[in-house]
Amino acid sequence: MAKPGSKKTTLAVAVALIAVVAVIAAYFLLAPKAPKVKNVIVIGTTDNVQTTLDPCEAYDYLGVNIIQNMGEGLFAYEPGTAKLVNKLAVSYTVSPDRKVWDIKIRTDAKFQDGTPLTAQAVVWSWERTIKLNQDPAFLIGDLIEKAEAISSDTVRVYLKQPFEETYVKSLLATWVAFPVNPKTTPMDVVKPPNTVDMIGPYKLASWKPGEYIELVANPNYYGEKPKTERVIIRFYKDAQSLRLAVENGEVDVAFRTLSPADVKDIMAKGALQVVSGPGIAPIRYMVINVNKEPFNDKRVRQAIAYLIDRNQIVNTVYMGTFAQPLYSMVPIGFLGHKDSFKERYGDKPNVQAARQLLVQAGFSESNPLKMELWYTPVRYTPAEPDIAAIIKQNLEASGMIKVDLKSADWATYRSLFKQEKIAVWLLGWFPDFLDSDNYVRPFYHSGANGWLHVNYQNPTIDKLIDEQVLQPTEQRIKTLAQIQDIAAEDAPIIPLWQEGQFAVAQKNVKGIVLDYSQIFRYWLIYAEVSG
Amino acid sequence: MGLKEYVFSRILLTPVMLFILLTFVFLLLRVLPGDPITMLEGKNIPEDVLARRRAELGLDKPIYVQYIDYLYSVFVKLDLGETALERVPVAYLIAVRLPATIELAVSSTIIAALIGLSMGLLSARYQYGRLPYAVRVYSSVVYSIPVFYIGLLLQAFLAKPLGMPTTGRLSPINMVLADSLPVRTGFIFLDSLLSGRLDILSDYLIHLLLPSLTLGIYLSGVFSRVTYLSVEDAMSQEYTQAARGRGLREWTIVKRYGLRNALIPILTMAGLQVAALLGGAVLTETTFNWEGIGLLVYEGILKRDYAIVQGAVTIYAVLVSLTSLIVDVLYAYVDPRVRY
Repeated sequence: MAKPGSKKTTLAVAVALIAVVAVIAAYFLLAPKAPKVKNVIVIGTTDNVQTTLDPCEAYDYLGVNIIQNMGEGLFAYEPGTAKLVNKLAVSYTVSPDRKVWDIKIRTDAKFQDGTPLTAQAVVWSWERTIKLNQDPAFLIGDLIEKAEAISSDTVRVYLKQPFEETYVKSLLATWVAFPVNPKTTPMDVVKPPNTVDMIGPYKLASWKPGEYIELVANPNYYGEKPKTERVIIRFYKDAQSLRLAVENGEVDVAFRTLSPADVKDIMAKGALQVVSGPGIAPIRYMVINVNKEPFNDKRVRQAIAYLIDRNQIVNTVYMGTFAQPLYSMVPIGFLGHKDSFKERYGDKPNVQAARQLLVQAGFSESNPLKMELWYTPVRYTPAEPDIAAIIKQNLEASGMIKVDLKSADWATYRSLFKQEKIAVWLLGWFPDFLDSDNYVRPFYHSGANGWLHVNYQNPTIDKLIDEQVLQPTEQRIKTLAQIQDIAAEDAPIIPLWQEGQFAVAQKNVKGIVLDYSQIFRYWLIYAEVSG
Repeated sequence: MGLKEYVFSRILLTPVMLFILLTFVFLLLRVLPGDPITMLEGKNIPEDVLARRRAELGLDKPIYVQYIDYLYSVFVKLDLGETALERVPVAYLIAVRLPATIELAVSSTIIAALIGLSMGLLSARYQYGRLPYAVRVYSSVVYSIPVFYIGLLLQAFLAKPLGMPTTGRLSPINMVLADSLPVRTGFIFLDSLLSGRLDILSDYLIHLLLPSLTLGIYLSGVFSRVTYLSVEDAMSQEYTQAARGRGLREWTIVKRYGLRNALIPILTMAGLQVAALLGGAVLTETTFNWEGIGLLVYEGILKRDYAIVQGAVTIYAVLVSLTSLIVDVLYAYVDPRVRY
């Protein structure tokens, strides 16, 4: 062995050093230049979780969306399509009388703690939701008479009525029907900062109410691993703060809701990308309390329907891209959608027709209809005042209507229309489940539209709404068309536009899918880092 | 009356003040249209479920019963209740949010004092020049524009061009990190420093700069005005004339005779400013998404969450009365003539 200090030793050390340096240098120089993926993504939003993240109770957009990233049901929407596919279900059979479904479930699915999914767990989860009877429980409570596990992998469902097939599947795809782990879930609502154990790509890591929610990949998920290991959902108070945060790079993706004007500005600057997709959350409409003078006169409501220029709203406020004019409460893309208002009133304002109706109803230029139009500035879009101003301008173009614009925060607003102190106001609808029924029943059925205080009652439409969910698909489409035509004729509610979805993201972010399912899938999103 | 008795009687008076304040807030919230469950309405939720939720919160009881229940729970059970929709204890939310408000209050007071004292002293020193007029204009302008407007101006003309963060106490990733630091008092300044996370500390300081500057500038108006007036007053006293006669340098006179004698009114004003400070904090916090008690109150009012608003007001009241008590006690140290 060479003595320390000898030439050989020096040489050996030098060679070793050079070798180490070379290896390190080679690592950095030759390391694949292919983009790496960041292991954490920050998603900023102005939404907040309204109640809890327990699927038996959550009923707000963000809460439900986070649950949809942590759990899944027997059926789900295929990303990019409006097609319902099997998820935790493998196959199913429907009895000839359409009242009994046998659903076979996956045997390889496990909860977060490794407990395997069984038919018993599915049944237990549904029973828990129905028994606790929280806000959205009716979604399956009104559907299922009884459910039982006929084997460890088959659930037998007895329906309350012989409902149509896609209707049943769309309800079983809702978050309230997601299986929860019977071993760890209490028979009570789980409160923040906790949630329940479900089967899905992510699980909850931490939650500071009002500030952020952190999700991490669920190691026991049977399906594909999420593209990004950790997701932080950061809450912002308003669109202005959210915009500033995405512009200075603190947020990777801003989703729901920047003002359309801000998005236009951001697009013009070109430093960020804007991803958009079709949307139905929300659809926007005007409600007219049909008991209030002079709106109890159908002709007055029809005149309003003639005057509103949906294209003006969509083009000026939404730049023609982030929204579509809506001519029926059933949105475009849904079973049986029909442009009934377009057929009945046209797609441009018809001042002549409106004036005739107003004259018949007893108004004139010297005796104009004086009305208040109410809106609420925070709940829907930051552009709400601009929209209300356009509608005012549309209505006043008749020369026989004088509009007084009024606004109030949501709690006041809700009280005003609940106590029927106001006659005409703007609202928006976020669907409970993705079926046309959810766009006609809550508005037009006199047994279900009490919450709206529109006071619209029509026995014919009630009967048609009750029938359509029990009819085979072909027949159902015809019935839905009839319902939409009657609704356009009576015009107690005037559909205005359906809002598209748009996300603003850093340029290195990929995998944002915005589709009709309205699910913002965190598990598909990733951010590349070069080098 | 000695100092101890004085402090004791002040503390005894606090619950009485709280009672009056809470009664007022209770009534005010009930006068507003809507209730906590209104936020859930406008959706398809069945009426019986909504009615059950209202009953769980006691909203179906007559208002005087609700009032008695509420007072009982605050003063007897010492319980601030739970939020209406999430059912999170209000005490927990306040504990989580309070450090942010204190951080903002302390840092903006420091800024206000620095700006205010130096402006006041300078204009007292050069009281025969143009400076006092400039400072007077500054203080009235700054004090009369709404604090959130100062915030928006700073955001637009300082933060945006420099690419500075303008929302929250930390960037989102650091927020999550800060909650898992080994030292956790809730005060990010302390936590990050004591845990040796200088990266989080610097991120925090950058985030703190704009909100505290906003509130600091707002409060500096009064500071500079009061400093100037009281120092100027002291400067015209006979003892200052005598000092001047002895040939002391003007700055020495300003500091040694002017400022020291002016401290009492400045301190009084600082004590009174606590209420303005906390009021300003609500607006500053909402402008900068600074997650303190102010933002909590703002959200609580919008959601009509009675428990949040009442709980936060209680904490505000306790803070204000505590500070004014501290200020009163400080008098005794600053001015040996003060006796209780």
